[in-house]
Formats: sequence, structure tokens, C-alpha cells
Amino acid sequence: MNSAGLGASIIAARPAVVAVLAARFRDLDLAEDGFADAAELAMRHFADAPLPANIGGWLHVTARRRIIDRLRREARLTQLIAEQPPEPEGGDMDAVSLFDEQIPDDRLRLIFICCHPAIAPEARAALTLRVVCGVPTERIAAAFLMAVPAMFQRLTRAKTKIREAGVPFETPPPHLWTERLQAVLATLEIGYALAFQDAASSEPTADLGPEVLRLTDMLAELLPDDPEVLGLAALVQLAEARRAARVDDQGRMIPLSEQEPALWNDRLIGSAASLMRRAAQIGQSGPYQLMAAIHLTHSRRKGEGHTDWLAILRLYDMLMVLRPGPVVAINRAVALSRVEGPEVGLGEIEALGSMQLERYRPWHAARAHLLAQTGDRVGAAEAYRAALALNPARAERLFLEMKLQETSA
Amino acid sequence: MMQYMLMIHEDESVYAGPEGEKLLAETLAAHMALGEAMVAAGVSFSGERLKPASTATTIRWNMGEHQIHDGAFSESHEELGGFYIIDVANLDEALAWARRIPIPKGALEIRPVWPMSEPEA
Repeated sequence: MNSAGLGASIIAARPAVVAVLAARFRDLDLAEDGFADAAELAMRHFADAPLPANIGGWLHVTARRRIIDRLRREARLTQLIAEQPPEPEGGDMDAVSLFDEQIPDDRLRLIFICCHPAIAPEARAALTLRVVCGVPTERIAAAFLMAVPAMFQRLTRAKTKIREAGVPFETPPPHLWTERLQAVLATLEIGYALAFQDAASSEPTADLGPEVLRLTDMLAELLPDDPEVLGLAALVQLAEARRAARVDDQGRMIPLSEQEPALWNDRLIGSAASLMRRAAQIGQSGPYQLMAAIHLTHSRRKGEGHTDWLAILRLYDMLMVLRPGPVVAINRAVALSRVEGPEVGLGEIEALGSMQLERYRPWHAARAHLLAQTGDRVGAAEAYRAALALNPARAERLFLEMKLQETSA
Repeated sequence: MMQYMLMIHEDESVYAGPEGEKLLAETLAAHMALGEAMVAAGVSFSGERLKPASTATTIRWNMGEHQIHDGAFSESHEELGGFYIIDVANLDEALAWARRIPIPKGALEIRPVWPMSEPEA
């Protein structure tokens, strides 16, 4: 087995194995460390041997033994050891029984633990990426624009809170389900926002898009009857589908309406469309489904050759009802300008000015764009300068600088 | 089982005046009802109401030196007005009970009690 393929199999097995270990030992650190030990052993053990069909079972048994060994050594949690059922003796890694053990699917349980509302939202998102996906702390820190020690401390604090405050290691009971699922979706949405900072992040290592995609896909697989879960999964798939089209060869951001559709990923768009059909059949709309529908309408430009802005405007109208906010209002104004002309859109943007958006970069960028469309080059240049003064990430800065040059030329 | 202290930080000023008296009577009745609900659910608990913060005396220590002064430790509008200690399985159960504590204006803090049997880490 080559090491890349072996590594991929181990990563794929990780969420389920860590979940089972966490549920059993009621400690995220023990579960993570146990998995890391088992993964290291597997890399050595299977380097020259064929990979077992059930690598998850192998990793689980190995990790469990490692954890119990460690608990014995530390002789700290004597009661916890006493609670464990006896392990069959003999550490032979080739024992057939290792491959027979089927592990229960506790991934959902693990997600609920990491996304408990008693944990701060930013910490929840980081913890979920760390514990469920196994993303290294360094990469999470980079994505959150934090120093590594600070992120490490945030993760440690969250894990300690879970252990010491008695966060339950069970899937929540039905009467708490709605509230807890909201916390999960809000957490994954933070992940989505990180992934969707576009190419805007100049550090390639900071890009967590594929990890967030894995998480939202996993949740859609585990909760296939929740339309908003499906909506969020579709939303992340559609965002990921455009990854290759989001920057030009100089690292400059390309806005959605100017992207080359040939670069969009058909498989992800198709998958998102089918998730949304399933969500629609359940018949209960929600903000994530609406946001996904907006992105899906944009993606139809591939194939149809044009964008149905009227449909997009209607979707933003509905989103303004379900989830009003500055981002939605600004995007709605841009859609309105496509339907009724730049003057109308600009009027809408100016009317939003009272919402204290002077420090909000997307407002200045949208205003600049619409001013340029109405022929007010001086006003547009001024607005682009205002947007540039608000610390855009590299890709967006390059884009805004290009626009500023165009209007000043 | 875990023990949690549910601390009621209240703005006492809402209980002033005739309207306030009515509100206080309602709040106290809701506390009684909550206690009965805990008994009915078999949750073992204790709890006390504290006299207003104006009756508090604080001893403040600084490296072996201490001073006694009038008033509560905290300077905020919301003072510790009472507490419950409950025995439940986990934080979710503690939160479910805590949410039922009547507080017209203020906040409720939920803290696990350090068990006596657990060695200090």
C-alpha cells in the first residue's frame, strides 16, 4: 500500500473512530491522542502489507488499547479503568478479530459535542475542524488569522470546558434537538464563511474549503431528512465548485458574475442540485436553502449562457424576510440594479448607508461598482478608495486596485 | 451525577414600588412551583434566597492583609440574589432546569461544583 493511499484511508476513517473513542472515554483529548497513536502504528504496519477492508475497526481497537494502556500508566483515572470491560489479552496486530469489529457510527454525537451552545461559537468551529476532521491546529489558526499558540489555547480551553462542565456525550434528546441543531448549523456556517473567504486568503495553507465540505457532506449523510442541513451542504458544494474560477493567474479576485463558467466543477454543481431537490421535497424552506438556491441560479449561467437576475432578486427578497442583514441587503441591491438598472440599485445602496455601514467594506465596494455603472467615475474612484482603506485581503485588494485604476484612467 | 450551582444574578430594583411588589410575588410563586417540579422529577436540590446586597459585608484580602467593608463584592447592577444547587446527569439537564428559574431582569450562571472526592488536578 503506498503511503498516500494509506494516509487517505486513515483520514477517511478518522471521524467515526474518534467519535467512538470520545463517546466511550468521555474525553476529547484521549480520543484524539489515541487515534494519533493508532494512525502512526497503521502507517508503519501497513506500509508493506495490504490494507484491511475495515481499517476503521483496526484503528479503533488499536487506539482503544493504547488509551487504556495510557490510563493504566498514568494511574490517574482509576475509576474509569474499572468501568472498562476486560480486553482480550495479546497484542497481535494481525489477529483476525481486529478486522471483524464493526464500530457504531458516533460521528453525529461527536459533532453535537463539539458544537454545544455552551462553547463559544468561534471555538466550536475550530474544535469541530480539529476533532472531527483532524485539521492541524496550525492550519486552523491560519484560517482564523490567529497565532498558533492562541488557537491552541482556545482549543484546550474548549476541551476543558466540555470535560469539566459536564457537556453530555450523548446525542441530544428530541426536545433539545432544534436548538442544538441550530448551534451545529451556525458552527458549520462559520466554517463555510472561512472556506468562502474565497481565494481572498493569500496563504494557501489556510484554505479549509475541502474540510468544511467534508463536514457538511457528512452532516447531510447523517441527517438526510433535515432540509436546512441539505441546504447548507448544497451551499458549501456550490461555493467549492467555483474554487478554480475565483482568482486569475495573478492572484486577483474575480467576482462571481465575471467568472469563467468552464472552470466551475460540474460534479459538485450536480450534487448540490440533487441535494436541493431532496430538500424541496421535504417542503420546509429556510435561509440555507434560499442561499443555496441563489448560488445554484448563478451556476446555471453555465449551460444557459445568461443569469436570471429576476429569480435571484426574488430569492433575496425572501432571504431579507427570513434573515435580514447588511450582506443580504447589499447583495439584494446589486441584484436589483441588474433588473431595474444601476440608478435604482444605487438608490437602494445609498438608503442602506444609514445602517452604519461606513466601516463595512462590501458596502463601499458595491457602491463603487454601481457608481461606475451610472457613469460617476469620480464618485466610484472615491468609493473604491474607501473600500481599499478597510484592509481587504490580498486577492480582493488586487481586484479593487484594478477597478480603481479603470475608473481613474 | 454532577452537581451544579445555579446562581441568580438579579437587578433588585425591578422589585421596587407597587408594580415591583406584584412582580416579586409572581417571581416567588414561580420559585415555589419550580421547587415542586424538581421534587416531582426526583431531582435532589437545595437553594436559598439572599437578602439584598445592601445588607452585605465584604472581607477583602490582599496578601495576608484584610479589610472589612460595607457592601457586596461586585459593583454591578445585578447582584447575587439567590442560588440553587442541583444534582443532575449533565450540563444539558442543568441548563433545562436553569432556564425555568424565574428572573425578571438579570442573568443566571451555571457552574459545576467541584466534587470532594475528585483529586485536585
